[in-house]
Amino acid sequence: MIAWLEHEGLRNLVPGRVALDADLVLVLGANAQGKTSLLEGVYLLATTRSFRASRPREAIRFGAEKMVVRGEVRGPGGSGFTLAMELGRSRGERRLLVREYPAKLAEYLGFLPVLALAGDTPHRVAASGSERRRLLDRATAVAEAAHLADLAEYRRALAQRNRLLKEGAPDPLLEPWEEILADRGQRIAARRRALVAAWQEHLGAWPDLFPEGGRAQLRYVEEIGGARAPEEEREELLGALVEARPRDRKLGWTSVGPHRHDLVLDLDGVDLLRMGSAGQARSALAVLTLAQARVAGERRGGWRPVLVLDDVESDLDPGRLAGLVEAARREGQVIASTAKPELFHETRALRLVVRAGRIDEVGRD
Amino acid sequence: MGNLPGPLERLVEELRRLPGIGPRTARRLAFHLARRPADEVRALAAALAGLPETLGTCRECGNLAEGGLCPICADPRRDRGLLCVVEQPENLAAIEETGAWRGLYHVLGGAISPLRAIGPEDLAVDALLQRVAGGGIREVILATNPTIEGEATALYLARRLAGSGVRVTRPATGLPVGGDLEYVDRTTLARALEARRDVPGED
Repeated sequence: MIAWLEHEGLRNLVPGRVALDADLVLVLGANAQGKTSLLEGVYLLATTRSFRASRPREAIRFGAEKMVVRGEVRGPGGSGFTLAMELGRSRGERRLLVREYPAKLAEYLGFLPVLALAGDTPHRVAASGSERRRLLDRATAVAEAAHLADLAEYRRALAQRNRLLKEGAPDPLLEPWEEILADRGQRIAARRRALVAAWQEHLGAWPDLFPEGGRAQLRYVEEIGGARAPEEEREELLGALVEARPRDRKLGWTSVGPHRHDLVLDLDGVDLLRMGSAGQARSALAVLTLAQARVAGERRGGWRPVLVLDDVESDLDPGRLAGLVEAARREGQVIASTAKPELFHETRALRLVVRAGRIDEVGRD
Repeated sequence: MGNLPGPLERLVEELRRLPGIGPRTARRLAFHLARRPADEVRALAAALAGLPETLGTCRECGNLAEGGLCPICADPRRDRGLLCVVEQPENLAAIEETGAWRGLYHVLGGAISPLRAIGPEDLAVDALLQRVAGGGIREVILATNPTIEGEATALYLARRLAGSGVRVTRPATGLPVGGDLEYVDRTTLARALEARRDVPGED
């Protein structure tokens, strides 16, 4: 769990330290007071990314030179250590610290597994394949550090091949990049595929929230034929890249590989992930988030994830909302924002109120 | 800056062009030099001034050399059947420091990177193929950097060398010696686990 968060230069929040050491933290307050910014701070600390902006620098307060988030991660035994991220306005101005020592991104990530479900998550997931792939890759990276390095190398090799395609370079120059794409691509696809299979097992576990979960089918959509021996998958991906060369040369970019793969949640022939914000899609995504949390917890033996639930009440009826918060609490530490405190009168929680960027503790039971 | 005497200002500007030197370090170095005895400063200046005239590249391997051949290529005790391919002279120097390599080198001058408009024709690839075709080489070790560009360059060279009859190898990647597993970055650790080897038993 995250025990506290210190922040400075984070959107409109007044700099300070907030205690978060509870199973359930309810962040209350009217709209536009800074509730989401607090949740964003936790997410930034854990992932170096924002769940509400495509670039984390957008979270730096207008006029501020930099943003600092620092927090204490506490393990199942109660022992803690600090993580910190400093982010300046320009590229390259980012410092990551673990126990106050500088750390590389691959070392830093994964110490605090965090999953976010925000009001606009269903819209984002519905709108773009890259959001759906990001969902897979963030969850994979929590469990396997090598995934991020493979992704970064894959993207780099992809950019190199795309440049050659645009220049009309001959086949022998494409070949080394295709070998690298097939090698990293196979590993990326295999991990995502395994993760999807693990999530599938849990989809039916919350019938109150998503009664159709037992029937819904998660599928990892790829151009190659699914799981086999790694060498075979690599060969097949390489074959697909070679075969796509004439088409890719016309397009000027690479049309096959994990950067084009997708995630589908099929219920009776309808893909719920592409349905946007309809209630059923929202329930499905909520259950998918819980399934991710359960898988993350299982893989990390006792280190329960943090679930950030931002403004999730929009399309969920009060009963389902309370059900989601209770279910999430069983999977990990929950930090949830809401403009409807009346829904949680009976709930035991640490309560914070955010007013004009100031965060105050108003109750702990 | 602006408030420094002209000669010092020019020195700071020149020092700032060096890799790893920011404005503050450049100033510190410039003030340091300003305080040193004139002879010492002249010796440094002479060493710098002589570089373009006296330092060239080895006609065999592309390493930095004074005269036509570098000391490694000129050394008769080196095994001429082994060729280690590196990107830059500093990579060569790092391998030399290990004392573990008794063969020769071939310096490419970089790695293939379409994004930076560097292709095989911009590197000493033809020279490498000619050296290998010239005969006498048993093994080529492709010790390009462990970056994606270094890997692509090695893969490209491996294809070009296929059929030449020489053995082509690539150094292993893995765990640093003398370190604690706890401090190895997790990507290196994960990849070292993937590339694990059997340990011979007693049976």
